[in-house]
Amino acid sequence: MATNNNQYNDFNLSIDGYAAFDALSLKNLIIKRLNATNNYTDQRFEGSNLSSIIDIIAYSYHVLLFYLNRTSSESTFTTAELYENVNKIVKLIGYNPIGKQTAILPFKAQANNTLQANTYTIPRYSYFNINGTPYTFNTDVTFTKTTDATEVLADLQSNYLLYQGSFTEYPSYFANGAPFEVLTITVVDPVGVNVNIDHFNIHIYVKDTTASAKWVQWAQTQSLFLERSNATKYEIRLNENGRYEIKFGNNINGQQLNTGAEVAIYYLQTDGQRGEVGPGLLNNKKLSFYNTARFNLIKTDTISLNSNLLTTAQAANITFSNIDSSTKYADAEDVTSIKNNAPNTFKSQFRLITADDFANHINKNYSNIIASTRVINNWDYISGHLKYYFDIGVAKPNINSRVLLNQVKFADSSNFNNVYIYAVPKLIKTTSLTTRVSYLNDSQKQLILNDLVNVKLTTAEIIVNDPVYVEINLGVSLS
Amino acid sequence: MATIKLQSVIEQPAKSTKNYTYSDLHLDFIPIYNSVSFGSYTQNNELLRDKEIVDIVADFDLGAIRNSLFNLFTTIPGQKILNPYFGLNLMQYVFEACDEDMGNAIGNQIVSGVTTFEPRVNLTKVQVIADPNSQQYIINISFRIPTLNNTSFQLRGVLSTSGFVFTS
Repeated sequence: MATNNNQYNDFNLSIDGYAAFDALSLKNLIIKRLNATNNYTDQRFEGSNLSSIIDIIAYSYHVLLFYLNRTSSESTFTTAELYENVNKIVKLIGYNPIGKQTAILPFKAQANNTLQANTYTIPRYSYFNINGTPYTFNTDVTFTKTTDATEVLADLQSNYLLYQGSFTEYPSYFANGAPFEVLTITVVDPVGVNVNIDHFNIHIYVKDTTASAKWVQWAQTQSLFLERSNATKYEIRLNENGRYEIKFGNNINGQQLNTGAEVAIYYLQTDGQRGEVGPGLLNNKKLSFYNTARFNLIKTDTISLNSNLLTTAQAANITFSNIDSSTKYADAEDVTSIKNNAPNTFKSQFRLITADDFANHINKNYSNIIASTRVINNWDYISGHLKYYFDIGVAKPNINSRVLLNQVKFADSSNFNNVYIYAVPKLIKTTSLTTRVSYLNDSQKQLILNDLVNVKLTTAEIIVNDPVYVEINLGVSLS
Repeated sequence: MATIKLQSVIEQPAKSTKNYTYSDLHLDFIPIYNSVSFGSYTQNNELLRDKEIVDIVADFDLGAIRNSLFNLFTTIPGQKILNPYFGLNLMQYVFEACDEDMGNAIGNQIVSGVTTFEPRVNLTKVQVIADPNSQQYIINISFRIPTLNNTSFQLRGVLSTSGFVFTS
């Protein structure tokens, strides 16, 4: 408690004494002061008008002090508790909270002998309707059928995933040409609640005002301040109101939108938990192509001229199925999660150097796929993982099927620079009928690898490894 | 150290050099314009500021005590922000059958409340007369004020579905 009294007033209060008042102590002080002046006497009687006025003043002060305290607390990172405030505070250090993440479905694909050997492209936003639940490709999907016979489409099922939800067209936005122009996506349901938009599936296309201009797909960046002046990139931020803000550049950091340029937004609207599906539900479902007037123009402008777009008739020759359940829908980051992740992201500055950087990045961005992650270097891999196999009697650990599979698919001949990521898939076994998925499948691993390429240390080679599970059996003897 | 406050043991004000013992604000606020020549609201003239600084009307002695009693009768416990025990819930009676029994209940409530919250007065008589035709009660209160030379006073009020008012 402060001992210095304010010598410039006559109230004999400590300098910070105002903060110690509550309604009752302030009321007592006012009464005491009025008693001293002797102008009024009835402040000491509860029934007097003066007492009522004192009550109102003291209580108002109490409430104002509460809000002052609350406001002060909510203005710092360590003490803020409300989502809106935490969201705004972490903006200062460039952290963008993650929004909702839709369920993801790995699939199997097989083409029959009617489909000729060739390279095909399934246009982006093509979708399946699984008993009313849409699952969608979020990118152009290119695959090769190598023979005219019936064939498992390995590069299709290994490299791509289906995302729950359907892509929705946002009305065209015409730019006003301001630096760092911000466009807020406002989509609410009939009762005014924000619809569920998948955080990682908001796509932006821009068409300039010149007569010959074509639609161009812009890319998302972590921070515009890391981009060159002509980079056609934008930032996405989930703001404190739960809505997405799209921020464009200023011709110094990222390209600025020209006045009148048309901006087309497509976002994946997810059904949340209702959209999760179990094994086998995709079997024999028909692939449909996304089709709107504006999107057809965009598709024409943005798909490579050499692409051999799959037709509806050709699509009928491919059988899709799923043996795994979809991943779980993940809700938006809450305050605790933001407080955990923001300092880590700030520390790593969008670059993955240490094992913790990798683990934090993966946990933050793939919380809908992964339950937990461990990242180790080659030394720890040999002295830990491989040594474990030696210890349990495996003579040649390198040819253990799980080790071999990952080495062959993801490693190069030099191993000293390997970064091993052990990821446990997120599938909670809620009933005995739920099949536990112990390992990420190839397409999920590839998804993570593709993302990490842009932020990892240049020399690091990443292998998404399968975790080793230890089975424990318990026996109970009844006597 | 904890402080125990008894409503009925309140430090009485020292005898003022002024010609009153009790003074309370009068509500609604009314400025005392008699002391200035223009007798109106602000003239927006900085040079006349001293003339515009006027006091507000106050109630003294019996007027101050009457304020307290009026507030006591018209306040429901819980209404006073910092003292939830203050007040008499007289309005609970006006929608009941208007008869002598109810009048007795009102009288007991008044005696109890005044004794607790208005230590300046000594009640000598509380008379509550039921008027079933008008669904109202006439309340006569007689009391002495020891600090005002033990003078006797009488107040008369009416409790009806419209609330409580002093009529004299």
